Amino acid sequence: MAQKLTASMPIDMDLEFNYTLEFAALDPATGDPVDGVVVSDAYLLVDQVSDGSADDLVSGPFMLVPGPAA
Amino acid sequence: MADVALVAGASEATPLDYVVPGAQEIIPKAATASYDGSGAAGSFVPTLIIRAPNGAILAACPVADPLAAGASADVSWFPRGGVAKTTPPVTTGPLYFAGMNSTGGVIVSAGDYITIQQIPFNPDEVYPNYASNDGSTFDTPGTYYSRNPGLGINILQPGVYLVLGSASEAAGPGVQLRTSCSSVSGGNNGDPLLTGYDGGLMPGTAIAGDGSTWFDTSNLQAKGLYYLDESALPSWVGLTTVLPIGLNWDVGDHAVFVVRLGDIGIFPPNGFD
Repeated sequence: MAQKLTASMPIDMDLEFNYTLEFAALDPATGDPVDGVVVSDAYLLVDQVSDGSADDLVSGPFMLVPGPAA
Repeated sequence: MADVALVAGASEATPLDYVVPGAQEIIPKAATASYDGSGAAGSFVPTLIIRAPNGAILAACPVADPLAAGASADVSWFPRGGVAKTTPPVTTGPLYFAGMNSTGGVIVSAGDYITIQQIPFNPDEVYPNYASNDGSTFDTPGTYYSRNPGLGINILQPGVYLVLGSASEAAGPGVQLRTSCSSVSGGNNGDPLLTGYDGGLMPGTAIAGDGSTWFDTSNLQAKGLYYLDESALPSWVGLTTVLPIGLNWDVGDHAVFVVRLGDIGIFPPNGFD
């Protein structure tokens, strides 16, 4: 059974075009990426500050979570 | 502002990136991901990294503890998230000890009164068998208390000390084996936090301890806990017997062991209350 872990993240940090949120696995000693780690069910909850529809936020492998109206 | 939820549909090798698309601006509120380390090359720390367009790291948000290679975790990030790391116990360095034994029997004679006597360790030897892992905390017998050579292990540093002792030969009814401390028996300084003895005779019984240790009439045990501040030093710890009227005791092989548990600050000087 997978452990349940939590960590803190910044509050009220505006991110614009080409800013990146990266799910990483780092070596605890060196900080270098560790090979062979797989991420699934990566989920982001964001405030859309800019104009436009939610569809405009789809990027890379990330898609909108279908809502009740989908 | 509107909340928008985004999910990566497939499993991806780390790092998995979400790049804010053109003409958009967002404020992240929370993130989650399941990390599968079954194929990990080593231990790893799940970390959410926020990068500027030039690749500079604006924020790195690791979990508190690394995961071992092969481990998996469901990780959640949110403002003011995170579980406080358990504070490891404060240690004061290695435990220092000293031990001493004597293989020869010692006849302790009782007279017409109840007798309380120190048990010597070197009646027939220049020194008994003695060992310690720190010469600045303990010393060989007789150095400071020449009037009682060989009666105990000298203690040179303040601290809280646990003393254990044993004597192997059978004792008579009512015989007690106790630990002793010179500064305590002298009626000043030093404070016995706990003193005690497994004592007297336990006739006809053999009590199983942990399966390997047996207490019976031929193996009396004693223990004591002593608080020794600067004013109590130097001091020594050893073994004492209490003999009823008319009894002698050949204590046989006997030993005393003392370990420094820590600074005197770990216990109040007058006990635990």
